[in-house]
Amino acid sequence: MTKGGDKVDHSNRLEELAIKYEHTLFRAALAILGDPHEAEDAVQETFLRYLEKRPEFRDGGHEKAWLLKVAANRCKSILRGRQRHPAVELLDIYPAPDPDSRELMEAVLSLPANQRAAVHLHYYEGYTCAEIASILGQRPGTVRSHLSRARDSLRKYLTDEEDLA
Amino acid sequence: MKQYQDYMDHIKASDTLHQKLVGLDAPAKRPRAWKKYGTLAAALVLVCGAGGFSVWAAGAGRQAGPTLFNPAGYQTAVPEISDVAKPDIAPAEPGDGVDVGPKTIGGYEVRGEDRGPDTVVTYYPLFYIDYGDTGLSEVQACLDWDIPQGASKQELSREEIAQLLGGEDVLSTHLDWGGYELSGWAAWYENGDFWGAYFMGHAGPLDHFEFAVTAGQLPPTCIVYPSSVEQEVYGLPVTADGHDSVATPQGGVDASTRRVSFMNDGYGYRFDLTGASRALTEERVSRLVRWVADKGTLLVDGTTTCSICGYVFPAGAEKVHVHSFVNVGEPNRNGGVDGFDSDCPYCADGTAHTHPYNPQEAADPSHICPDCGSVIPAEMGHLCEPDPAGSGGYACKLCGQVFPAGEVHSHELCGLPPAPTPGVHTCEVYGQELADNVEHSHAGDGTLATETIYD
Repeated sequence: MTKGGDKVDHSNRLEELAIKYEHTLFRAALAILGDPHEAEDAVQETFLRYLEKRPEFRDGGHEKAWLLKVAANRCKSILRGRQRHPAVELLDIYPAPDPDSRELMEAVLSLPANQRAAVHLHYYEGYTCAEIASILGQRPGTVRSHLSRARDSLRKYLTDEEDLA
Repeated sequence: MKQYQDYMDHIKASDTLHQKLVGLDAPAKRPRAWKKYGTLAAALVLVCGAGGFSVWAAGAGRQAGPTLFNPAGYQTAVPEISDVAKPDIAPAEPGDGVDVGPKTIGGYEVRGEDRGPDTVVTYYPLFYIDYGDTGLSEVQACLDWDIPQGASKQELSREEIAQLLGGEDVLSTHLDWGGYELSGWAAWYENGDFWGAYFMGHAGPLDHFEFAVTAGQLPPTCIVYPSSVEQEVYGLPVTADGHDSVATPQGGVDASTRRVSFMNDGYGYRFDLTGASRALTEERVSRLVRWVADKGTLLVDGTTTCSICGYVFPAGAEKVHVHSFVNVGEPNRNGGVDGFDSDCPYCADGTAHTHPYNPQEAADPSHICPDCGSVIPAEMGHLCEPDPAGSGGYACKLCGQVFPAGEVHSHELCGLPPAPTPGVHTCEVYGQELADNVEHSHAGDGTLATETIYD
């Protein structure tokens, strides 16, 4: 394979990954950070990390989990420097479609970041506690604890059995 | 959470972001931080002259000791400003929250699962900490522990200390404490809140440390170090001091002591390490500060205090601590005749309750129900009351079965679920399955939480 060929393949692969995961990563970063600009930064840095490391993935699930893990780590780094970069109001930029949704989103956004991350990965991405633990670099018990506390805070919005499971 | 899903479904990455992503170029391979710093350090050594003590001209302008230049163990340099300003993407994920600061002492690598050329190697940069020089050579640590009245103190084994710190892997890989004999204790207020912990490590007469953590304040000490240096390390305000003891006829250093104290996330930490190798001593201190800065209060999250009996044990996903309202028993733990744990008020006054089952502690693997007289096999739960129907037998409060006096009736307590099972609950936090009428409590992430599980 020529160097030029490598570049083309690589560019195609990057575009493929971007199309496949940019929304997923952006939503996850947004859920954790609550700030679209910072979320975009986190996604960009995630792809930069991918370019740098060029990991080989076992399958699509591994690929997605790896990217989410890197994105979550970038978000953690951003959160550490938050004193200088207060988050903007997410709901002003992405308004909720109705008052109930807005109330729920306000409740979710008021959760600590680690609980928001667990909630998003569980309720939106459908990951189990063990998978979330792997993505966030935490112990499964810690993730369960985050989810449990988040459920306590959001209990009035969790209606069906699946939500409460 | 349907509304949450709907809300998120409508959020898309912008076209601008997409264009940025597909237009990304692979970054030029950055040298490992230690390589870069090592190269610069070598250059500085050449400038300053071989064998001479060097003055660290950058940073706070403070004159640094010769410890800054130890070619064998250190790679020190001032990274280019442009590198500091960039997002640091060189280290792999776990340690990447800490950006490389202006002074480091290199770092250390942790290799992930060995997958040949694709093995992920995580690099943790270690900041240099300026200790000044107290000029004291015979300072002994003098932690003046003033544990409040009513607080309970528990000695900790090496395994429990490891568990508190995040596992053996943390001890050996991140803190480099693998070669130390460890001992210590932890103390809790009467209400179960964490008060403090103290660990000692001993690897030889010139290699030992003390590490203390207390809630809400710095660990107490009776020593004032007038020449201590205050600085920010890993984003934490760290006070550091140290001295070298000179013992050899040639004026050589035979031991170096380095101390740091700092607050992080509501907990105070004090670490006092003496080692024969100055470089290694400072590296280990930096490792500990890095670990605490990265992991926050993990150090004290690892214990659980039972809100019912006050019994404290290292937390773990599998650790279950169960209380019942009436007579659930475990071997030799029931009735309070001999007592199980003098710190547990329920053991002392004979109130029926249970502790985590540990077969090694049980001399007799069975116990006798004080109500019905049944001999209950090991690891079996038993909860009965006189048969309300007046048969003269007893009614099992777990399954409802009525059994005659003298008949053994028990349920498996630890190997859940009990059978037959009229109702089993699953703990939302740790996922244990528990029988009806069993109160279950534990702390998650350091905050006591109690949930009562009923029908």
